[in-house]
Amino acid sequence: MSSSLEKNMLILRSSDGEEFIVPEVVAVMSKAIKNMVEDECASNTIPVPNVDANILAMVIEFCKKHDESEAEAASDLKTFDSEFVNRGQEALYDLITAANFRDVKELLDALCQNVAEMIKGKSVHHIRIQFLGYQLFEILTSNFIWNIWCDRDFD
Amino acid sequence: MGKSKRAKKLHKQLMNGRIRYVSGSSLKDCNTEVGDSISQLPEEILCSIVSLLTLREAARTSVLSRRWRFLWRSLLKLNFDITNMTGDTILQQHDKGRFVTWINQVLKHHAGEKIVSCRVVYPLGGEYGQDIDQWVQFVAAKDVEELHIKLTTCHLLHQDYTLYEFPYWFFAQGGRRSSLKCLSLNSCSLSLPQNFSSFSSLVSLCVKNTRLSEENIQNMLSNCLCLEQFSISKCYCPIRLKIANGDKYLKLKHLNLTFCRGLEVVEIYNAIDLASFECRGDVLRQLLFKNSAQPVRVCFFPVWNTLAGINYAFGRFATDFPQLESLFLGFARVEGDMIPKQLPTFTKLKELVLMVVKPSPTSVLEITSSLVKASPFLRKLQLHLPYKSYRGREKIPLEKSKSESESFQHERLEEVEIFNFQGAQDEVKLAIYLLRNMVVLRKMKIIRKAQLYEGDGKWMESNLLTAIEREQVHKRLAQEVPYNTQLIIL
Repeated sequence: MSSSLEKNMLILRSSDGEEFIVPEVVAVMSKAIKNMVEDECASNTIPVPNVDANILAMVIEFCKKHDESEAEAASDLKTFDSEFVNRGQEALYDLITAANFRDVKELLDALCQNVAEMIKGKSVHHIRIQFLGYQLFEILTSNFIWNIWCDRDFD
Repeated sequence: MGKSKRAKKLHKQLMNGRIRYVSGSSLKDCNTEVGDSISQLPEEILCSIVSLLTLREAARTSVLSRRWRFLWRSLLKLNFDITNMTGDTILQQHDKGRFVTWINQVLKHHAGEKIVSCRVVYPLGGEYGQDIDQWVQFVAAKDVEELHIKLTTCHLLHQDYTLYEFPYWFFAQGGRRSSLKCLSLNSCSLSLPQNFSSFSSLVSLCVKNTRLSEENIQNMLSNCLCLEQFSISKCYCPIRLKIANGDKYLKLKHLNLTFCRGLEVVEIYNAIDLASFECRGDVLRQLLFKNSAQPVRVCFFPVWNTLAGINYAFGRFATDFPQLESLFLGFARVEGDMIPKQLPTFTKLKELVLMVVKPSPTSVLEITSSLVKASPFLRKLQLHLPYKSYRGREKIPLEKSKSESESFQHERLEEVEIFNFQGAQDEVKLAIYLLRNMVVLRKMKIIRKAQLYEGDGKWMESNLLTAIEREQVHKRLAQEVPYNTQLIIL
């Protein structure tokens, strides 16, 4: 397998064992991987623990896009970024953790910016709803709190 | 099923603002259980998210959970300006009192051990001196590293304006060294005493809009022993400025003298690391480097007297800066007859940035071609074309330029960037000239936006986009692009 690989390709293995063949230039956008490659302590296959295939695929998609359009239209890239990071909270959490852990600065910046956008321009109780979302209400409705404050506030 | 329906209904009502009150204690209990994944991110990430918000918004996040409640109160970077206060950019002069109260309150709530940077931008007068003193004292006690105070919106202060006296003594409290690395003061006076050792870790000092005496500058240089960047701008200066600290070596790497009123002679002693020199405004009568390194990067922008500036740039430049590798040259308006026929050769110049603010018939093409010819080793050229607002009113007659017919080849220039490209005839001609005559050109980047120079190597992007479409630019230039050149239009 590895012999047939081109020289500048790397294999990334996600925590659940799936393998991705990625050009080295794309992979080294992660500082953590870059360090491993530079120290030559990495074989062709680099394990990426704590990141599952789903998230790893997303991270790679992001890095590929950024690598391709390095010099090109910055505005196009911005649109891509804002669409890319526009995800549910669970995915956001996983992506941020992955980006932080693998040290992919561009991705981390875009994600943090997105979370900040979620807060911007919202009133206090909208922020609350945005972040705590339905989950809060599921819990509220499932226990006695529901009865306490719904009696008080409902008409 | 019924439950989730009820939840949805409740959610809707909350969104509509029909219910506002959720009892605090019940929320607290819930938050710890709720799978609010974002809140479980590592501290430093939450901090960087909060620091992307304005202070007003950051304060709002405290409703989320106990963790968030303390996040904004321990913000490392405090940014006090009008946008952060109101979420609006409109400046209301009469709101000074509100602004001051706001900062006082935020600082009262601040619970962090450390403040990395603090920025105060508001036209506060001397009557709030006491408050500002308190703020400086507060951040000094929290080991602030970057402090930026701007107390004016004017471009040039009146000579008699009462300046706020910067309380440097708070940084000497407890007899320890302050950790201040960057200090930027706009319309504050900074008069350090002779032996003040607490600024010994200061790396960058910027003074703007103030009056400086020879003694002031002397004391700044003798007290800030690690100073690498020194900017003086829009100041009333003595005629003769001596940059020296007795016989000792200076660590100075970058010196910026921008719009220094009254300054004529500059002498720099023992600055063995000096690499970059910036001078905008008046043309200096004399510039002396004694026992100093020759700067490799120079920024020169004669604003008021272009002719004197050109004469200087094309006359004494080569002798004043023999090591010149990177040059930023800016002119307000260039006429064809201002450019001398014979230019000295810039033997080491690799990078050239040329900016012309107002258009004139011959202008940019002529001066570009003369400069490129005078710099045989040039690799990178950046052009900032004149602004459109001027162009719209004046109809520019095109003269037949002599450079069109002459054959000239530059064999080093690889990269060209043209900013503020609006597709006018003379601009297209300039681009074509470069495409034809620069034989090893790899990349030509055409940017339709303008960039404004802020000083000290910083640029600001202007938001004005020119009316011309990307395709139009492409259509006009595509035929001229050689096969080994990449054309990028932004």
